[in-house]
Amino acid sequence: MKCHEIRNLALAYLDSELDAKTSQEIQLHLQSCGECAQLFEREEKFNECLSKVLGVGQPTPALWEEIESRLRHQHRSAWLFPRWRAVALGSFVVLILAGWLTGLIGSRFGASSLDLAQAVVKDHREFLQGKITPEFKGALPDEVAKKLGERLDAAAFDKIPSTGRFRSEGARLCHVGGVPVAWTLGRYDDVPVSVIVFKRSELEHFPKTERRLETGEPIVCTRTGHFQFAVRFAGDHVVCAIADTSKQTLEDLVRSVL
Amino acid sequence: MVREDEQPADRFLALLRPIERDLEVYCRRLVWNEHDFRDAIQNAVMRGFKAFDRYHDDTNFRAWMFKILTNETFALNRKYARAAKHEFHLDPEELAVLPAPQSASAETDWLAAPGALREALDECLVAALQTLTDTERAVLLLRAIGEFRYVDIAESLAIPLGSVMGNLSRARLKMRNALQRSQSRTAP
Ligand SMILES: [Zn+2]
Repeated sequence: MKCHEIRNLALAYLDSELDAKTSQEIQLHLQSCGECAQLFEREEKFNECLSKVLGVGQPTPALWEEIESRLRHQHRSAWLFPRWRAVALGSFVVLILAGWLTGLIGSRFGASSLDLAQAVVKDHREFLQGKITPEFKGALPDEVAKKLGERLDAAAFDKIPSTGRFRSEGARLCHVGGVPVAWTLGRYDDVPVSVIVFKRSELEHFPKTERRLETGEPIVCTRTGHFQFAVRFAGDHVVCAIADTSKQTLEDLVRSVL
Repeated sequence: MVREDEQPADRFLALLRPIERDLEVYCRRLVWNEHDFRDAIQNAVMRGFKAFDRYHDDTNFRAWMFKILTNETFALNRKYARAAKHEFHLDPEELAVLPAPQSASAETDWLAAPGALREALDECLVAALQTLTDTERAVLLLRAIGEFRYVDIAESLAIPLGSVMGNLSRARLKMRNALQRSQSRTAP
Protein backbone atom coordinates (compact mmCIF):
# COMPACT_ATOMS: atom_id res chain seq x y z
CA MET A 1 0.00 0.00 0.00
CA LYS A 2 1.08 3.55 -0.65
CA CYS A 3 1.45 6.22 2.02
CA HIS A 4 -1.89 7.92 1.28
CA GLU A 5 -3.74 4.58 1.38
CA ILE A 6 -2.13 3.81 4.71
CA ARG A 7 -3.10 7.22 6.08
CA ASN A 8 -6.70 6.75 4.99
CA LEU A 9 -6.85 3.78 7.29
CA ALA A 10 -5.18 5.49 10.26
CA LEU A 11 -8.40 5.98 12.16
CA ALA A 12 -9.68 2.44 11.77
CA TYR A 13 -6.22 1.08 12.49
CA LEU A 14 -5.85 3.06 15.70
CA ASP A 15 -9.36 2.06 16.77
CA SER A 16 -8.43 -1.60 16.16
CA GLU A 17 -11.18 -1.93 13.62
CA LEU A 18 -9.15 -3.48 10.80
CA ASP A 19 -8.73 -7.14 9.99
CA ALA A 20 -5.50 -8.80 11.07
CA LYS A 21 -3.98 -8.88 7.59
CA THR A 22 -4.48 -5.18 6.86
CA SER A 23 -3.32 -4.27 10.36
CA GLN A 24 -0.13 -6.19 9.85
CA GLU A 25 0.47 -4.55 6.51
CA ILE A 26 0.15 -1.14 8.10
CA GLN A 27 2.42 -2.13 10.96
CA LEU A 28 5.11 -3.15 8.49
CA HIS A 29 4.73 0.12 6.59
CA LEU A 30 5.06 2.16 9.76
CA GLN A 31 8.30 0.40 10.61
CA SER A 32 9.82 1.55 7.37
CA CYS A 33 8.16 4.96 6.84
CA GLY A 34 9.09 7.61 9.38
CA GLU A 35 6.66 10.21 8.07
CA CYS A 36 3.62 7.95 8.36
CA ALA A 37 4.80 6.68 11.73
CA GLN A 38 5.02 10.23 13.04
CA LEU A 39 1.56 11.06 11.72
CA PHE A 40 0.06 7.97 13.27
CA GLU A 41 1.70 8.67 16.59
CA ARG A 42 0.32 12.19 16.71
CA GLU A 43 -3.09 11.05 15.60
CA GLU A 44 -3.13 8.42 18.31
CA LYS A 45 -2.09 10.91 20.97
CA PHE A 46 -4.75 13.39 19.91
CA ASN A 47 -7.48 10.76 19.86
CA GLU A 48 -6.51 9.55 23.30
CA CYS A 49 -6.54 13.07 24.73
CA LEU A 50 -9.82 13.86 23.08
CA SER A 51 -11.51 10.72 24.38
CA LYS A 52 -10.17 11.41 27.83
CA VAL A 53 -11.43 15.00 28.06
CA LEU A 54 -14.77 14.14 26.49
CA GLY A 55 -15.27 11.40 29.06
CA VAL A 56 -14.63 13.64 32.08
CA GLY A 57 -17.66 14.24 34.27
CA GLN A 58 -19.63 13.06 37.28
CA PRO A 59 -23.26 11.99 37.40
CA THR A 60 -25.88 14.17 39.13
CA PRO A 61 -27.11 12.09 42.11
CA ALA A 62 -30.39 14.02 42.50
CA LEU A 63 -31.32 13.33 38.89
CA TRP A 64 -30.80 9.59 39.18
CA GLU A 65 -32.59 9.41 42.52
CA GLU A 66 -35.57 11.13 40.98
CA ILE A 67 -35.50 8.78 38.02
CA GLU A 68 -35.29 5.79 40.29
CA SER A 69 -38.24 6.82 42.42
CA ARG A 70 -40.33 7.68 39.39
CA LEU A 71 -39.49 4.34 37.90
CA ARG A 72 -40.63 2.50 41.00
CA HIS A 73 -43.78 4.61 41.24
CA GLN A 74 -44.59 4.01 37.62
CA HIS A 75 -44.09 0.35 38.18
CA ARG A 76 -46.55 0.31 41.05
CA SER A 77 -49.18 2.20 39.11
CA ALA A 78 -48.74 -0.21 36.20
CA TRP A 79 -49.46 -3.01 38.63
CA LEU A 80 -52.55 -1.22 39.93
CA PHE A 81 -53.84 -0.39 36.51
CA PRO A 82 -55.89 -3.53 35.77
CA ARG A 83 -57.67 -3.28 39.13
CA TRP A 84 -58.32 0.41 38.67
CA ARG A 85 -59.71 -0.27 35.23
CA ALA A 86 -62.07 -2.91 36.58
CA VAL A 87 -63.36 -0.54 39.24
CA ALA A 88 -63.68 2.29 36.74
CA LEU A 89 -65.53 0.08 34.30
CA GLY A 90 -67.89 -0.97 37.08
CA SER A 91 -68.69 2.58 38.07
CA PHE A 92 -68.94 3.57 34.42
CA VAL A 93 -71.70 0.99 33.88
CA VAL A 94 -73.48 2.17 37.02
CA LEU A 95 -73.11 5.78 35.87
CA ILE A 96 -74.56 5.00 32.45
CA LEU A 97 -77.47 3.15 34.01
CA ALA A 98 -78.10 5.93 36.50
CA GLY A 99 -77.79 8.52 33.78
CA TRP A 100 -80.13 6.67 31.48
CA LEU A 101 -82.65 6.26 34.27
CA THR A 102 -82.57 9.89 35.30
CA GLY A 103 -82.10 11.37 31.86
CA LEU A 104 -78.89 13.04 32.94
CA ILE A 105 -76.54 10.96 30.84
CA GLY A 106 -75.55 13.82 28.56
CA SER A 107 -74.36 16.23 31.20
CA ARG A 108 -72.69 13.65 33.46
CA PHE A 109 -70.83 11.97 30.68
CA GLY A 110 -69.89 15.28 29.09
CA ALA A 111 -68.38 16.59 32.28
CA SER A 112 -66.29 13.52 33.00
CA SER A 113 -64.81 13.27 29.51
CA LEU A 114 -63.86 16.94 29.37
CA ASP A 115 -60.14 17.27 29.03
CA LEU A 116 -58.42 19.47 31.57
CA ALA A 117 -56.83 21.79 29.03
CA GLN A 118 -60.08 22.37 27.21
CA ALA A 119 -61.84 23.00 30.49
CA VAL A 120 -59.26 25.51 31.60
CA VAL A 121 -58.87 27.44 28.36
CA LYS A 122 -62.48 28.69 28.52
CA ASP A 123 -61.96 30.32 31.91
CA HIS A 124 -58.54 31.65 30.94
CA ARG A 125 -60.15 33.44 27.98
CA GLU A 126 -62.64 34.99 30.36
CA PHE A 127 -59.77 36.14 32.53
CA LEU A 128 -58.19 37.81 29.50
CA GLN A 129 -61.50 39.48 28.67
CA GLY A 130 -61.77 40.75 32.23
CA LYS A 131 -64.83 38.59 32.94
CA ILE A 132 -62.98 36.70 35.66
CA THR A 133 -61.13 38.79 38.21
CA PRO A 134 -59.23 37.89 41.39
CA GLU A 135 -61.28 37.62 44.58
CA PHE A 136 -58.43 38.36 46.92
CA LYS A 137 -54.73 39.08 47.11
CA GLY A 138 -52.25 37.63 49.61
CA ALA A 139 -53.42 35.32 52.40
CA LEU A 140 -56.58 33.28 51.98
CA PRO A 141 -59.47 35.21 53.64
CA ASP A 142 -61.66 33.32 56.13
CA GLU A 143 -64.85 33.76 54.13
CA VAL A 144 -63.23 32.02 51.15
CA ALA A 145 -61.66 29.35 53.36
CA LYS A 146 -65.13 28.52 54.73
CA LYS A 147 -66.38 27.75 51.22
CA LEU A 148 -63.62 25.21 50.47
CA GLY A 149 -65.23 22.04 51.81
CA GLU A 150 -63.47 18.69 51.64
CA ARG A 151 -62.62 18.68 47.97
CA LEU A 152 -60.16 21.58 48.10
CA ASP A 153 -57.70 22.57 50.81
CA ALA A 154 -56.18 25.93 51.69
CA ALA A 155 -52.69 24.59 50.80
CA ALA A 156 -53.74 24.61 47.14
CA PHE A 157 -53.64 28.41 47.23
CA ASP A 158 -50.01 28.35 48.35
CA LYS A 159 -48.92 26.49 45.25
CA ILE A 160 -47.77 29.35 43.10
CA PRO A 161 -44.73 29.69 40.81
CA SER A 162 -41.59 30.58 42.74
CA THR A 163 -39.79 32.12 39.81
CA GLY A 164 -39.20 35.86 40.11
CA ARG A 165 -40.54 36.34 36.62
CA PHE A 166 -44.05 35.49 37.82
CA ARG A 167 -46.17 38.16 39.52
CA SER A 168 -49.45 37.18 41.11
CA GLU A 169 -52.39 39.55 40.63
CA GLY A 170 -54.55 37.63 43.05
CA ALA A 171 -56.53 34.45 43.31
CA ARG A 172 -60.03 33.06 43.49
CA LEU A 173 -61.96 29.88 44.09
CA CYS A 174 -63.36 28.47 40.85
CA HIS A 175 -64.85 25.29 39.42
CA VAL A 176 -63.37 23.60 36.40
CA GLY A 177 -65.41 20.74 34.97
CA GLY A 178 -67.15 20.49 38.33
CA VAL A 179 -63.87 20.33 40.25
CA PRO A 180 -63.13 23.05 42.83
CA VAL A 181 -59.77 24.67 42.10
CA ALA A 182 -57.48 27.38 43.43
CA TRP A 183 -57.07 29.78 40.55
CA THR A 184 -54.19 32.24 40.65
CA LEU A 185 -54.14 34.97 38.04
CA GLY A 186 -50.86 36.58 37.25
CA ARG A 187 -48.25 37.62 34.74
CA TYR A 188 -45.06 36.01 33.59
CA ASP A 189 -42.89 38.67 31.96
CA ASP A 190 -46.12 40.62 31.32
CA VAL A 191 -47.85 37.66 29.67
CA PRO A 192 -51.14 36.86 31.47
CA VAL A 193 -51.03 33.39 33.03
CA SER A 194 -53.58 31.29 34.86
CA VAL A 195 -52.26 28.85 37.44
CA ILE A 196 -54.79 26.23 38.51
CA VAL A 197 -54.30 23.90 41.47
CA PHE A 198 -56.55 21.14 42.74
CA LYS A 199 -56.38 17.94 44.73
CA ARG A 200 -54.79 14.94 43.10
CA SER A 201 -57.83 12.84 44.04
CA GLU A 202 -59.92 14.99 41.68
CA LEU A 203 -57.83 14.12 38.65
CA GLU A 204 -60.14 11.22 37.80
CA HIS A 205 -62.47 13.85 36.35
CA PHE A 206 -59.90 14.43 33.63
CA PRO A 207 -59.06 10.91 32.47
CA LYS A 208 -56.96 11.92 29.48
CA THR A 209 -54.68 14.04 31.62
CA GLU A 210 -54.66 11.40 34.33
CA ARG A 211 -53.59 8.67 31.95
CA ARG A 212 -50.68 10.74 30.67
CA LEU A 213 -49.47 11.82 34.09
CA GLU A 214 -49.74 8.31 35.49
CA THR A 215 -47.41 6.94 32.83
CA GLY A 216 -44.69 8.98 34.47
CA GLU A 217 -44.48 11.96 32.14
CA PRO A 218 -43.05 14.64 34.47
CA ILE A 219 -44.86 17.50 32.78
CA VAL A 220 -47.67 16.95 30.33
CA CYS A 221 -48.05 19.70 27.74
CA THR A 222 -50.56 20.41 25.05
CA ARG A 223 -51.58 23.32 22.86
CA THR A 224 -55.15 24.55 22.69
CA GLY A 225 -55.53 27.14 20.00
CA HIS A 226 -52.72 29.63 20.57
CA PHE A 227 -52.54 28.79 24.27
CA GLN A 228 -49.93 26.52 25.77
CA PHE A 229 -51.03 24.29 28.60
CA ALA A 230 -48.78 22.38 31.04
CA VAL A 231 -49.62 20.18 34.00
CA ARG A 232 -47.73 18.16 36.61
CA PHE A 233 -48.09 16.57 40.00
CA ALA A 234 -46.84 18.54 43.00
CA GLY A 235 -47.21 16.33 46.05
CA ASP A 236 -50.92 15.77 46.73
CA HIS A 237 -51.89 18.40 44.21
CA VAL A 238 -52.15 18.79 40.49
CA VAL A 239 -50.67 22.05 39.22
CA CYS A 240 -51.40 23.37 35.78
CA ALA A 241 -50.88 26.61 33.92
CA ILE A 242 -52.08 28.14 30.71
CA ALA A 243 -50.80 31.15 28.78
CA ASP A 244 -50.13 32.46 25.32
CA THR A 245 -46.45 31.55 25.45
CA SER A 246 -43.91 28.90 24.52
CA LYS A 247 -43.88 25.33 25.81
CA GLN A 248 -40.47 25.89 27.38
CA THR A 249 -41.65 28.96 29.29
CA LEU A 250 -44.71 27.23 30.64
CA GLU A 251 -42.74 24.13 31.61
CA ASP A 252 -40.32 26.32 33.55
CA LEU A 253 -43.19 28.11 35.22
CA VAL A 254 -44.99 24.93 36.27
CA ARG A 255 -41.72 23.36 37.40
CA SER A 256 -41.07 26.33 39.69
CA VAL A 257 -44.19 25.66 41.75
CA LEU A 258 -42.98 24.31 45.09
CA MET B 1 -46.98 -11.09 44.91
CA VAL B 2 -45.34 -7.78 45.67
CA ARG B 3 -41.93 -9.39 45.84
CA GLU B 4 -42.42 -10.99 42.47
CA ASP B 5 -43.73 -7.74 41.12
CA GLU B 6 -40.68 -5.76 42.20
CA GLN B 7 -38.41 -7.82 40.02
CA PRO B 8 -38.56 -6.00 36.66
CA ALA B 9 -37.75 -2.63 38.25
CA ASP B 10 -34.96 -4.19 40.30
CA ARG B 11 -33.54 -6.01 37.32
CA PHE B 12 -33.72 -2.87 35.22
CA LEU B 13 -32.03 -0.75 37.90
CA ALA B 14 -29.31 -3.33 38.45
CA LEU B 15 -28.40 -3.02 34.79
CA LEU B 16 -28.85 0.74 34.70
CA ARG B 17 -26.79 1.79 37.71
CA PRO B 18 -23.35 0.82 36.39
CA ILE B 19 -23.87 2.87 33.23
CA GLU B 20 -25.56 5.96 34.70
CA ARG B 21 -22.38 8.02 34.70
CA ASP B 22 -21.51 7.21 31.11
CA LEU B 23 -25.06 7.88 29.95
CA GLU B 24 -25.10 11.27 31.64
CA VAL B 25 -21.67 12.36 30.43
CA TYR B 26 -22.59 11.24 26.92
CA CYS B 27 -25.90 13.07 26.96
CA ARG B 28 -24.45 16.30 28.35
CA ARG B 29 -22.04 16.41 25.41
CA LEU B 30 -24.65 15.45 22.86
CA VAL B 31 -27.42 17.97 23.63
CA TRP B 32 -27.51 21.33 21.91
CA ASN B 33 -29.08 23.04 24.88
CA GLU B 34 -27.50 22.11 28.21
CA HIS B 35 -30.86 22.47 29.95
CA ASP B 36 -32.24 19.57 27.94
CA PHE B 37 -30.04 16.84 29.27
CA ARG B 38 -32.28 15.99 32.24
CA ASP B 39 -35.34 15.62 30.04
CA ALA B 40 -33.41 13.53 27.54
CA ILE B 41 -32.16 11.17 30.23
CA GLN B 42 -35.51 10.89 31.99
CA ASN B 43 -37.36 10.27 28.74
CA ALA B 44 -34.81 7.67 27.69
CA VAL B 45 -34.88 5.76 30.97
CA MET B 46 -38.69 5.71 31.05
CA ARG B 47 -38.80 4.58 27.46
CA GLY B 48 -36.23 1.90 28.16
CA PHE B 49 -38.14 0.65 31.16
CA LYS B 50 -41.44 0.56 29.28
CA ALA B 51 -39.82 -1.51 26.57
CA PHE B 52 -37.93 -3.66 29.07
CA ASP B 53 -40.23 -6.64 28.58
CA ARG B 54 -38.99 -6.76 25.01
CA TYR B 55 -35.39 -6.70 26.17
CA HIS B 56 -33.63 -10.05 26.12
CA ASP B 57 -30.65 -11.04 28.18
CA ASP B 58 -28.56 -11.60 25.10
CA THR B 59 -29.06 -7.98 24.06
CA ASN B 60 -26.26 -5.62 25.00
CA PHE B 61 -28.06 -3.47 27.59
CA ARG B 62 -25.43 -0.75 27.43
CA ALA B 63 -25.69 -0.40 23.65
CA TRP B 64 -29.47 -0.62 23.87
CA MET B 65 -29.73 2.24 26.40
CA PHE B 66 -27.24 4.40 24.51
CA LYS B 67 -29.33 3.94 21.40
CA ILE B 68 -32.53 4.99 23.16
CA LEU B 69 -30.79 7.97 24.75
CA THR B 70 -29.34 9.05 21.41
CA ASN B 71 -32.82 9.06 19.86
CA GLU B 72 -34.31 11.02 22.75
CA THR B 73 -31.51 13.57 22.62
CA PHE B 74 -31.80 13.96 18.85
CA ALA B 75 -35.52 14.55 19.29
CA LEU B 76 -34.82 17.41 21.69
CA ASN B 77 -32.01 18.76 19.52
CA ARG B 78 -34.41 19.01 16.61
CA LYS B 79 -36.02 21.97 18.37
CA TYR B 80 -32.94 23.96 17.64
CA ALA B 81 -32.83 23.19 13.91
CA ARG B 82 -29.28 24.51 13.86
CA ALA B 83 -27.70 21.47 12.33
CA ALA B 84 -28.83 20.73 8.83
CA LYS B 85 -29.99 17.17 8.51
CA HIS B 86 -28.32 15.39 5.67
CA GLU B 87 -26.98 11.95 5.03
CA PHE B 88 -23.27 11.58 4.97
CA HIS B 89 -21.09 9.65 2.61
CA LEU B 90 -17.40 8.96 2.63
CA ASP B 91 -15.44 11.82 1.22
CA PRO B 92 -12.10 10.31 0.17
CA GLU B 93 -10.51 13.67 -0.43
CA GLU B 94 -11.27 14.87 3.04
CA LEU B 95 -10.20 11.59 4.56
CA ALA B 96 -6.92 11.60 2.70
CA VAL B 97 -5.82 14.79 4.38
CA LEU B 98 -4.47 13.99 7.79
CA PRO B 99 -3.26 17.20 9.37
CA ALA B 100 0.47 17.63 9.03
CA PRO B 101 2.56 17.43 12.20
CA GLN B 102 2.77 20.78 13.95
CA SER B 103 4.32 22.02 17.15
CA ALA B 104 4.35 18.81 19.11
CA SER B 105 3.09 19.92 22.50
CA ALA B 106 0.14 22.07 21.37
CA GLU B 107 -2.82 19.76 21.98
CA THR B 108 -1.48 17.53 24.71
CA ASP B 109 -0.75 20.42 27.06
CA TRP B 110 -4.40 21.11 27.75
CA LEU B 111 -4.84 17.74 29.37
CA ALA B 112 -2.48 18.55 32.20
CA ALA B 113 -4.14 21.94 32.66
CA PRO B 114 -5.38 22.62 36.19
CA GLY B 115 -8.43 24.49 37.53
CA ALA B 116 -9.34 27.64 35.73
CA LEU B 117 -7.58 26.60 32.56
CA ARG B 118 -9.53 23.37 32.66
CA GLU B 119 -12.77 25.31 32.78
CA ALA B 120 -11.71 27.44 29.85
CA LEU B 121 -10.86 24.23 28.09
CA ASP B 122 -14.32 22.85 28.76
CA GLU B 123 -15.80 25.94 27.16
CA CYS B 124 -13.58 25.41 24.13
CA LEU B 125 -14.67 21.80 24.05
CA VAL B 126 -18.35 22.72 24.12
CA ALA B 127 -17.78 25.28 21.39
CA ALA B 128 -15.81 22.77 19.33
CA LEU B 129 -18.53 20.15 19.72
CA GLN B 130 -21.05 22.64 18.41
CA THR B 131 -19.22 22.81 15.10
CA LEU B 132 -20.21 19.18 14.57
CA THR B 133 -23.46 17.87 13.13
CA ASP B 134 -25.67 15.70 15.33
CA THR B 135 -24.45 12.54 13.59
CA GLU B 136 -20.79 13.49 13.78
CA ARG B 137 -21.12 14.32 17.45
CA ALA B 138 -22.97 11.11 18.26
CA VAL B 139 -20.43 8.96 16.43
CA LEU B 140 -17.52 10.70 18.15
CA LEU B 141 -19.08 10.41 21.60
CA LEU B 142 -20.32 6.85 21.17
CA ARG B 143 -16.74 5.91 20.41
CA ALA B 144 -15.03 8.11 23.04
CA ILE B 145 -17.45 7.69 25.95
CA GLY B 146 -19.45 4.61 25.02
CA GLU B 147 -16.33 2.84 23.73
CA PHE B 148 -18.45 1.07 21.14
CA ARG B 149 -17.15 -0.67 18.07
CA TYR B 150 -17.96 0.77 14.66
CA VAL B 151 -20.57 -1.94 13.96
CA ASP B 152 -22.44 -1.10 17.18
CA ILE B 153 -22.34 2.60 16.37
CA ALA B 154 -23.68 1.90 12.88
CA GLU B 155 -26.49 -0.15 14.40
CA SER B 156 -27.28 2.47 17.04
CA LEU B 157 -27.58 5.30 14.57
CA ALA B 158 -28.97 3.19 11.72
CA ILE B 159 -26.26 4.34 9.34
CA PRO B 160 -23.88 2.31 7.14
CA LEU B 161 -20.49 1.28 8.49
CA GLY B 162 -18.68 3.48 5.97
CA SER B 163 -20.69 6.41 7.20
CA VAL B 164 -19.50 5.78 10.76
CA MET B 165 -15.89 6.09 9.62
CA GLY B 166 -16.59 9.17 7.52
CA ASN B 167 -18.39 10.92 10.35
CA LEU B 168 -15.81 9.93 12.92
CA SER B 169 -12.94 11.17 10.82
CA ARG B 170 -14.71 14.46 10.06
CA ALA B 171 -15.63 14.86 13.72
CA ARG B 172 -12.07 14.39 14.93
CA LEU B 173 -10.71 16.71 12.27
CA LYS B 174 -13.22 19.43 13.18
CA MET B 175 -12.46 19.00 16.88
CA ARG B 176 -8.75 19.24 16.24
CA ASN B 177 -9.16 22.38 14.16
CA ALA B 178 -11.53 24.03 16.60
CA LEU B 179 -9.33 23.22 19.59
CA GLN B 180 -6.22 24.41 17.81
CA ARG B 181 -7.94 27.67 16.93
CA SER B 182 -8.98 28.28 20.54
CA GLN B 183 -5.51 27.20 21.70
CA SER B 184 -3.82 29.76 19.48
CA ARG B 185 -6.23 32.44 20.73
CA THR B 186 -5.53 31.72 24.40
CA ALA B 187 -1.81 31.00 24.07
CA PRO B 188 0.46 33.82 25.29
ZN1 LIG C 1 4.25 6.17 4.56
